[in-house]
Amino acid sequence: MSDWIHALPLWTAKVGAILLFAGVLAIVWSLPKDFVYFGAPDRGRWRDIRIWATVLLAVQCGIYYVF
Amino acid sequence: MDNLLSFTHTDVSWIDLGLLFAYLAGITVYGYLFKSRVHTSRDYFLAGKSLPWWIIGMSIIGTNIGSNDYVGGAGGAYRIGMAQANFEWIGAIPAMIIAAFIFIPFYWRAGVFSIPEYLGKRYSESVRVIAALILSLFSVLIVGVFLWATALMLQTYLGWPILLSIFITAGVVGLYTVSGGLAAVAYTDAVQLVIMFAGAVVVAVVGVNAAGGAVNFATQLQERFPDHLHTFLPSTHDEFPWPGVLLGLGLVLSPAYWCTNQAIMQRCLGARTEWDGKASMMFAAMAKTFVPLLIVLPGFFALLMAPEHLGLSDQALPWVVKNLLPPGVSGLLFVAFIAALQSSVSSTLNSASVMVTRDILGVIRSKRLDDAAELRMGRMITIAALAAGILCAPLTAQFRGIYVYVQQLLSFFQGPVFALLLMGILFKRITPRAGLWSLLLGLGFAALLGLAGLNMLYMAFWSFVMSVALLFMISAFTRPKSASELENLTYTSVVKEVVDV
Repeated sequence: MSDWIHALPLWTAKVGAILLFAGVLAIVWSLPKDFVYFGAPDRGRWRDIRIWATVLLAVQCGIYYVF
Repeated sequence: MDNLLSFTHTDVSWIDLGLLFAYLAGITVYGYLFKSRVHTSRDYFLAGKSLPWWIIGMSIIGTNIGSNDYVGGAGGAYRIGMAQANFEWIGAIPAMIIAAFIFIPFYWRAGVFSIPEYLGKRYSESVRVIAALILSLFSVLIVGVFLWATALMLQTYLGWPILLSIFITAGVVGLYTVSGGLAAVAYTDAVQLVIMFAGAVVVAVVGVNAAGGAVNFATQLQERFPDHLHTFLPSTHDEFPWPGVLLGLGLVLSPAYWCTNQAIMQRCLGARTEWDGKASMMFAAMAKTFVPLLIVLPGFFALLMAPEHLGLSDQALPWVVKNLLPPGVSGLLFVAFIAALQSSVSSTLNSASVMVTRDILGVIRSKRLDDAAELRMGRMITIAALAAGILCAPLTAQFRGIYVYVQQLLSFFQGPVFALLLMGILFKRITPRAGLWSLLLGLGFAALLGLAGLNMLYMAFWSFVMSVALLFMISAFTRPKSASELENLTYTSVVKEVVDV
């Protein structure tokens, strides 16, 4: 890997991780609601798996921010 | 070689032995009960598309956790600390979410039985056969590694001969996998996951108590081993430099594993609805968040409580089992370990069977088999894959660090296969010829990087980049498939259809 990447401080990794999580979250919320619910027996709020993804990614952000 | 055939004396308690026999008998009977559900090849390979999201989610994690996660994971935590958990967090969660939202809907709608079958529909039958050959060959090798690891555990713990242990494990798993197909595999995986987590929670409670309580445990770790509490290691680290973790693991290896692994994806294809398929992966991601509880904590217990430094980091878990756990609890952890291995073996066998039956023999044979013949062949191939796994198992002893060797093999082909899937789904313009040549040249490029001694994380990343570049370059000069041929196979066609509905 190039020398410039070795020169980056360790906190760059944390920023990179949080950007990755944010990018995934942006992809998830850009999908049409109908696509997310497709095949679900009803449109209950708990079946919106974008909310599941948000909780999961928030936990990940917390872990990588602290450690 | 003596331990291949002869019994040795061990001090295992009757409680632990009872737990093991109860587990082996219970899981065999439970798995075999699913035989009555299998009438067609669709029942056998896809559980009749009847699986609910929560069973699939548990099965995914059961399949995912293997011996390496227990022994190697605890050893890794002992050696490098929390960075070991990257494989469960940044190296899994984002990719699992992408798999749930982007990949599973396409596989499910395409009505395919396997990932190579999707590649065949998206590109060509040549791509399908090549991908199936690589993935099924790897599956057989992995079955051998899993069988050997289980046998080593049984030999160390109970003193059973290794060959006898291999045949017992293969017999138990083979019986319910051959008879009950994917449904038996998925439901037994779910039971096995409960056992694994129960074992992990009990070990965590016992270990934290032995360390003087949760507060004392955390304080001692912070004071004595502060470097073990970082998720990222310096870019100069030999094994896990942070750029490799972010680029290789986070962006390529992990999505490649979670979005293209046949053993993982097959249960999602057996979901009763598309939503169940997507939700199953999200549920699995939630369970995955807690997997470091199983693997990192025992490593930390050994770090804090072992009186002297362990020569080999992989001795961390055996040290905890031997020194911290009372009879009954050590038996529970042992059963959890065997359950983890069995769930991985059964899932890998089932996935190898579908790929060989449908994607290799099904394509090569000029005459298509009827359903009953395909079901019979599926069962025969499962038995053959198990037999090949048994034959491969002793070879594992010939290699030092076989699991790392297997991970390196994985990184040879995961980059190119993932590039084909991702670009094939996202861009209609990618052509069948580009798919075939990028796969072949991408594999060759990865092999060259491997021969040059590049770290496997970087190897996966650069072979992925190379394959993507080749896909676009070759597509510019070759003819794409028509819109009707790509229906339900690319992102725009699927989203457009949903919005229209």
